[in-house]
Amino acid sequence: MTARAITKSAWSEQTSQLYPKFLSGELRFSKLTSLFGAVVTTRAPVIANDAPRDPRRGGLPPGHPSLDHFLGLPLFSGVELVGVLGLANASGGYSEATIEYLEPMVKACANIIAASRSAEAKLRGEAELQRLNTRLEAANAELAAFSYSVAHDLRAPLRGMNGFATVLLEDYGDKLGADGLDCLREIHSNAQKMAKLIDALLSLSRLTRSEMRPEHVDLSALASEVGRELAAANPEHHVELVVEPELECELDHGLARVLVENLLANAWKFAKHVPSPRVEVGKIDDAGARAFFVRDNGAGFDMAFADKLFSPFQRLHSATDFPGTGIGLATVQRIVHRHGGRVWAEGQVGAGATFHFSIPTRGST
Amino acid sequence: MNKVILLVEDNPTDEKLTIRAFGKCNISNEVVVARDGAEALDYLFATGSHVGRDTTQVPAVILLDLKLPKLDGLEVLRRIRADSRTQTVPVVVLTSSKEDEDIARSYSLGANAYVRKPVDFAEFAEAAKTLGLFWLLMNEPPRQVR
Repeated sequence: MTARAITKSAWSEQTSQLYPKFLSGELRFSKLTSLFGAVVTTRAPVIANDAPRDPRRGGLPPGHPSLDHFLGLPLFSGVELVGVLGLANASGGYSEATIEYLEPMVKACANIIAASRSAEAKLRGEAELQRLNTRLEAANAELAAFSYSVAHDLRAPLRGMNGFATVLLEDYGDKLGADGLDCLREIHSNAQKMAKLIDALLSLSRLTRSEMRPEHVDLSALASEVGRELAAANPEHHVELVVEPELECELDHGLARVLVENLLANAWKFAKHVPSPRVEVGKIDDAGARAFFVRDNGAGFDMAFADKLFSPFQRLHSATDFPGTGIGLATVQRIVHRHGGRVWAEGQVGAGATFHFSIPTRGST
Repeated sequence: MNKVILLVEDNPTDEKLTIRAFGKCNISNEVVVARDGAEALDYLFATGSHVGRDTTQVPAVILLDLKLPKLDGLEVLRRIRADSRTQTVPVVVLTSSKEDEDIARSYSLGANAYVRKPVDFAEFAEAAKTLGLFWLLMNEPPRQVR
């Protein structure tokens, strides 16, 4: 305990010597086995009208004025003990009447301490928020610089590898033989793959950096439109698409399209090889909140790995069976999280998969 | 006399590939290579190592990389557009990135086109061919007024 306030009135020569010590902040109470401590441990007023012989006394530091009568009062803010008020050496000692008489002042002191503490906590909170904000801004700036460097510098060497593999093929292809040509094709396709991964990474990082403006989105119309595009891009597979009408949501317009494109492209990819592929878009009631889903009857997945589905570059299927960058569902998760929503998946190997997402509406959480 | 193509490119690999791509589609214009932004401006304004060059001979097209040593591509572009001798010369930004910000800033500074260098050489050669055909053959530049 530190002495926060001390009165100077009615002091003797001897007690006045305590004052500079208090001002310097050196007046501290560290022992709980003392009259002051007894107030803290019992959380109740302590009256000691024969202080020198009181069993609760803890002795006085050298130079301390003699203590004949003592009254210690706990200061409560609610149930929290925020301080102790100590009085000493009133002629005639202290009684319950003194306690009653002092009650308004004790309450006022407790309120002042509590208010000062909450103001300090608020200031500390604001300073902490400011510090975190600065750190976040710095991290964002670093991320932007990093992405810029990735966009510019990482593709150039790939262009070199790919380009010169092609030069070799064009100028010396006739001398290489079948194995040699195959090696060149491997170099070529690997460079292409890495270029795609870099692009995927960049678009993923762009997702989290772009400005966001949620507005009303007609999910049914958007899903049907994206479905038509996917059908056109995969003419060799007929996938039946069923979209529930009047699915509506609050989403950033651009991000909503990316979200639906990724979910539907994912469903298309895993369903298109089954005999009658079907993709369904609808809504369910998720514990009173509305959630949307995209369901397919495709390859499905093992629920044991459900948590890996949304991590970038994590794949549950071989790249040969189901090609892709491993970024689609990570993109979906980021978009949903940026809107404060939740995304989850259910599936079974060979029996299709369902991806759910819920987005809080404006004004609710 | 055929006008030159000014290629502003610091990466020697990209330089070789670009020149090869032009060769493949029979673009025979001389390609002048500037390896950083400052060198590009020296060439255009006949300063530094290009003192004495006739500045009325402007390139048919400038192929400009964005990430360059010394002065970056956007700064080079800004100075090209700020000078009456070069303000109408076609500038095609030819770079690795397709970051929205790069594209937007290039156009706002007066780029005529923005082309992302493809990783695939066949696509790269095709892009070079298209660029060459368009800017060297189809495009009618304004007559130099002097």
